[in-house]
Amino acid sequence: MASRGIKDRVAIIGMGCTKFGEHWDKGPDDLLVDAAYQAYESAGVEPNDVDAYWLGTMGSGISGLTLSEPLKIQYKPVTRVENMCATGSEALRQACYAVASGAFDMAMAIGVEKLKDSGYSGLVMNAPPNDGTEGSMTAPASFSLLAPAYFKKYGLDPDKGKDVLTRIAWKNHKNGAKNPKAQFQKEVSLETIKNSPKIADPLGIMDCSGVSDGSAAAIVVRAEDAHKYCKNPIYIKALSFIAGPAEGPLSQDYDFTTFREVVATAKDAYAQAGITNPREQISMAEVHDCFTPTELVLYEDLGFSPRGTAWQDVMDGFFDLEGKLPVNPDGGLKSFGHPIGASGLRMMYEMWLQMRGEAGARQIKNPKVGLTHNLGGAPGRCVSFVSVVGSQVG
Amino acid sequence: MAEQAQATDTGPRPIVPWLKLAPKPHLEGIKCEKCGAIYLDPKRVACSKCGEAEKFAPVTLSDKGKVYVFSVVHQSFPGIKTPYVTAIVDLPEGISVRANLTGVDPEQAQKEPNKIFNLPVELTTGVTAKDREGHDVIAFSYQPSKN
Ligand SMILES: [Zn+2]
Repeated sequence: MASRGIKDRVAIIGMGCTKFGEHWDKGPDDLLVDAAYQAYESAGVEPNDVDAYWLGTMGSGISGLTLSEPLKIQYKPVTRVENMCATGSEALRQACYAVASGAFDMAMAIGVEKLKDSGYSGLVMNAPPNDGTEGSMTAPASFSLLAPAYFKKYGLDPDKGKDVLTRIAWKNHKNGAKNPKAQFQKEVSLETIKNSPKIADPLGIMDCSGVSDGSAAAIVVRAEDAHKYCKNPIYIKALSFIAGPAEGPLSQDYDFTTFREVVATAKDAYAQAGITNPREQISMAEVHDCFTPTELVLYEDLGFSPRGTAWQDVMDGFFDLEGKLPVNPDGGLKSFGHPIGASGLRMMYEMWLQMRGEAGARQIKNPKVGLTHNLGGAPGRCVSFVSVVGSQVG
Repeated sequence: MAEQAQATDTGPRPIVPWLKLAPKPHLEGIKCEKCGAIYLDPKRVACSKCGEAEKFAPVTLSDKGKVYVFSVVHQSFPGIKTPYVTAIVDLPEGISVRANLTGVDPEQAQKEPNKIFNLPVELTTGVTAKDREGHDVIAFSYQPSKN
């Protein structure tokens, strides 16, 4: 038994992504049509060329009909998948395996979420209020625990720690300001971020990702077919998805400075892709910055920084757009927004643009190997996804 | 089904099945008889430490513990008064419990977090709501230990 992966056997030949934000005048149907037709056009294919579809949405529809109806798909397989906030990445993973297996020649992965008129505020999912247990732990509160646990473990004064978190949000806004599809296209000063209204101490509103509507899509084929459609496809080097046993909140050997699920997906993905030194070998990454301390901890879980040192790398600008390993060059969940089912594919969309030299004002110089990371759940109880993609085979 | 059995009682009822009200309020976990790991939810079907799926025995948990980490919540579910302190409390049996801290000033906790880390706390309960039949629903939290 082994996780063998499908290194270089599948390529992305076209992608699409809507603007993320408050689309009060659009439903999931409109967003899906927009992203899907961008992807068809990008790949230079007709809707009927796609043999099968995987649709990711957490709550904006059930069944394949959510997609087949608006796209008027002509009697083809459409599978709706859900894996919390990593739903979009799960859709991509299934589509890649489908073409890798030879079952289909061309598949689309598409994700969508329509949050802004669903009553979803980012705080309330389905937890009952104030029951003395889970319910009093809002989503921001459960992620906020990472911050004091990390500060204490590595001897950071809380105020210094807050500066580190603030700089992560500042960077993501700075990148998002260069992104015409981002929800918040504005730089925000360190002072404004640091003093933003408190949500769950030490997190303020500016430590939290944007609640938004959007959709993103990818078309995949087997790598040997890619050049029929596309001069510069991107190749899938690794896909790893893991659900943990959810022991964190119960177990004293879990210390809230890591996501074990992320460590496991990173290890699996690096083995699939043949990555031995991620800090040196990865050119850029899109990671799941649902809250600023999440991004801090992810740097270490993904092996970008040795344990206890990511905060120093943040302050040194290592993860800035101009840094050695740019993270969230498109603005991340913080600035691009987080329409749940679309986010994983939105991350891949940035890999697609950057590797093809189409990222405009935020273009990274010649990125060769990229990583996307997507998670759902909370510290100690989550699902995690890591992909590695590249501009070349090998 | 323990919860359903309780629904026919007339008295107050605990909000989660691992909170027991008699003889005095306490938490009851289940212990894996093979490796000794403890869990809160009595519905557990397997031990994540050793894989045992059959033998679990109830175990009474200490009503005293220590704060491992916490957050001061300023924005919460609709209708919930803020700010309040939510925490992970470590019990001597080796298990962690998620609960709110009461008797701690949220503003002060935010200013001086080091006074809250490792703070000895004890279990306390109170009526949090009434259910549809009018019974008191009892929730638990932790407060600074009195001794
Ligand atoms: Zn066991």
